Amino acid sequence: MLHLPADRLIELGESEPTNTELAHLGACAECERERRAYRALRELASAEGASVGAPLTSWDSLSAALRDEGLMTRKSAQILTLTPPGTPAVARPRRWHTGAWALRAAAALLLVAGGVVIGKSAASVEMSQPQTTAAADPTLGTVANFAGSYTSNAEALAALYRAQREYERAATFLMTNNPVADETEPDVYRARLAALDNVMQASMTALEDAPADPVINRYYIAAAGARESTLRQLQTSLPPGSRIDSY
Amino acid sequence: MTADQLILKRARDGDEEALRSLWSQHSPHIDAVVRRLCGDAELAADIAQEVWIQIFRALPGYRGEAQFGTWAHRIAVNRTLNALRKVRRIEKWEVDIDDDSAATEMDSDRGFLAESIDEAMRQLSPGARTVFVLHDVEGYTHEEIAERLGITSGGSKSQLFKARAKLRRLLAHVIDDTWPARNGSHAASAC
Repeated sequence: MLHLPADRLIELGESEPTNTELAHLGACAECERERRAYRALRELASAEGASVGAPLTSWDSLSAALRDEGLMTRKSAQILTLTPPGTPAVARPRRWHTGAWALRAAAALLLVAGGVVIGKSAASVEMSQPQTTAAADPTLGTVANFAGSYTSNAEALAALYRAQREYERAATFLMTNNPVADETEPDVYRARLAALDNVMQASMTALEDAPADPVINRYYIAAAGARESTLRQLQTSLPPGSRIDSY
Repeated sequence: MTADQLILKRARDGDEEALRSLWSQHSPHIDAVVRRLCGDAELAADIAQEVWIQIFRALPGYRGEAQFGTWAHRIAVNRTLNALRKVRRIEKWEVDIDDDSAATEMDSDRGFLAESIDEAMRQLSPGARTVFVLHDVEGYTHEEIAERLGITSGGSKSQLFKARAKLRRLLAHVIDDTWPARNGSHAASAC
């Protein structure tokens, strides 16, 4: 009895044998083993299509190139930036800029961001430490002392936005320079990715109801950004050569 | 307008966060296909940025007939193949089909076992790797591959078989760990 041709066995990795071939495969363990091996190879290849590895591109580099090409012409952050009194008017996108609702939305976003900061800070404080008042905490004391120094809502909101930008810079720094590293990190990142997927899904659903809502858009995009950072952190926390197939 | 449509519209208008959102959502898979086709991390990194610029450059022409990810993936494949041609990674690759180098390759492969299909693919010749990635990993047909590479579908099929046979040897311990492979020498010999 002759073995099946090598090319035919390779082909059988993705197609069905004829009746004659089937009879041969039933009697020839070696041909059957080769057929199974090529099927296994096909499955490995298919699985490879769903895998991702370490990122090849960085947003800093890509965004600079996009600006040079004229493909990126405006920052979304402008939509929440106040113009200080006395600044000449500049052309800005119509939506999302004017109206008290936009300011309230921005303030709400900032409160959420602030809440995250406070929450993170609180988590790092020992539970036994007594709660301090603003006067006992130099930072809070500073905030308290400034509470009455604003002369207008616009001035106060401008300060809020400056704080927001500072928060975003600090959060980005912390996410990319996490000083805490232990072997449980991949699990933490996986859990965070799953949670961020839920956030993205929820905000996506909300956007279907209110596609032009700037706050919901910011949530979606912020979640996408956090997801991207976490994915990169997960990749770098895995042993060399490991890749993410799922989480 | 759905959320995705809104983001795409904003991206077409040059909105940074919308562009970043698209990149962030799709770069893992786009970067992965670029890396697989290049088989060289340094080269892949150079090409990947060009791929993304090309995707955003083509954005005004995206009409939503396919999912954005699918559309971007096609651009990534085409742009990477063009870039590879420029660096002559796949020049004269079709000549390899008739190149009777199988025995030599088999000798050089002996003793080398890849830890993963990714590592094994890097051992393939540029032409064989390109065809294998496009067909078995990315799901392109031989006709589509032939059109993109400027070859015949028969040539594509030959390269694919060559690639599979070599990968089967390199990954023998993974896909056939209970019965050592015969180094691809399974021919129509007697049982």
